[in-house]
Formats: sequence, structure tokens, C-alpha cells
Amino acid sequence: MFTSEIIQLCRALARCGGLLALPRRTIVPLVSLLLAMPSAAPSDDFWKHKPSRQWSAREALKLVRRSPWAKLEIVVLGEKETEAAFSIPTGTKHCDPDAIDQNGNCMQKGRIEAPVDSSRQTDAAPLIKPWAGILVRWESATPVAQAFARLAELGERPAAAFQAPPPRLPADRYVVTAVLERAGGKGFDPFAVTPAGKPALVAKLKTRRGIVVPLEVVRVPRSTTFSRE
Amino acid sequence: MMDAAPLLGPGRDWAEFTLLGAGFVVHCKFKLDPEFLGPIDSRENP
Repeated sequence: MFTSEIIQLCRALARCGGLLALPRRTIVPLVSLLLAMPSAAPSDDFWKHKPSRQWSAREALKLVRRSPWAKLEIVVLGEKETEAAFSIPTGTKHCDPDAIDQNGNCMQKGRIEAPVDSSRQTDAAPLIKPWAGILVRWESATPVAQAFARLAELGERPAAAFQAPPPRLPADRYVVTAVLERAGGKGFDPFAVTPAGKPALVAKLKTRRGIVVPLEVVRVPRSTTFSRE
Repeated sequence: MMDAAPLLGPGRDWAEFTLLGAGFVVHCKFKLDPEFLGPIDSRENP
């Protein structure tokens, strides 16, 4: 079952805080990586040369799902490993140029780091852990709003609803949403509310000017649910 | 705003978004062009 929650993360312009203090337990049990999502080729940048009223449904969907404003990020679900014990370099073909270090190694995209089953020998193949896909979208970007409007205009309301635009976009805030698009393990829902209360979610935004933290987190129930294999 | 300066821009800019939860972290880098960044209200959301 798909997650029933969306996390909406808003940065209040008046709430620029200090540096993030991370509890160790929060970051220990995880391994994460960025999905190697190749940048859209120039020919695919339809939003640059085509007005939104001419976008097809497919183009509008692409914009809200895979575009400079909407990226699928992969989270490898670890257990107690403090760090990846094995890495799979996948080259720099799809690597963000900013993420290539002085030795030519891709430090970000295109690189998979996955823990290895400690019972295996050192020459064994890595054991890839279950992974989840989380769609992160810069919701308040104009093209995203235009794409949702275009989907509605084309009668693609179910598709638009499935992509779950936030119910409100405050004019004085940037809004980023995170939606669980692919649950990696049975029952994995990073945004689920536990009996003990809301999950501890901390979001931050880093720019040239510094780090903004915390961001306001707003949970919004998804209006559409579906089953997936 | 940060120290009375716009958080992003002018010109092509970037922002790295990080979400930390129990047992997972999501990190996402956006490259943003102010032309598309959005105004919902251009006076307040440059």
C-alpha cells in the first residue's frame, strides 16, 4: 500500500535558525545515496521553449515527477551499520559536476553505497539492501504549479491528484514536498505516525548563503491511495 | 530571507535539501533558475 502521508516542508522566511544538531541515533542506522538521475537533455527541456498551455499531459506529468524541480531520491535501508562497508562506483557519466572531487570520483549521483552482509567473505558480492524511493519536489516553483494546472486543464485530475499537490502554497515561503513513491521494505513508511507520536523529522536547506534550519514540517494526508505490487 | 538577503539568486543558484528521519535520510540538490523558481508572489518569493 502506498503511503498515505505527504510531508510538506515549508521554510518560513522569518525562521532562519542556527546549525543543525543531529542526534547520533538518527543518522547511525542509515545509508543513503542519491539516485543517478541523468539531467534532462536540452531537447527535453520543453518548459524553456514551450508555454505551459501547450504542454501535453505526459510533459506535465514529467515535470511534476522527474524534472529539475522533482527528483526521485533513493534511500537504502540499512540496519545498524554506521557506514557503508562496500561501495559500488558507477562512474561519473551521470554525476553532478559539482559532486566530482579533485580525483575524479563522483561523490554524489551515480554512486551506490550499500552495506555488505558481515557473514560474507570479503570477495563476496555486495548484498544490496532494500531501498525506498522518495520523490522530493520544489513545490512552489512556478513550472510545478503550471504543470498541475495544465493536468487539470487536460482533464487529468486523477493523475494530478495522485501526484498530490499541496493544498496550499504560502506566498511567503518556499515549499518542498517529500512523498514516498516506492516503499522499499514491507511496511516501511518513513512518515508514518507511530503510537508514540509523530516521527522525528528534521529538514534543512543549504544554500550559498548558509543553512536554514529547522524548516517547518506539515503533514498532509494523501487524498488518493493505491496498491502496488 | 537570511540576514535580510534573499535566500536564492540572483542568477542561477542551487539549494540542497536534507530530510532526516528515524533510520533514513534524504538528500536532494536542486539547481534553480530564478526565472522558474517561482513566484507565487514575486514580491515575497523571489
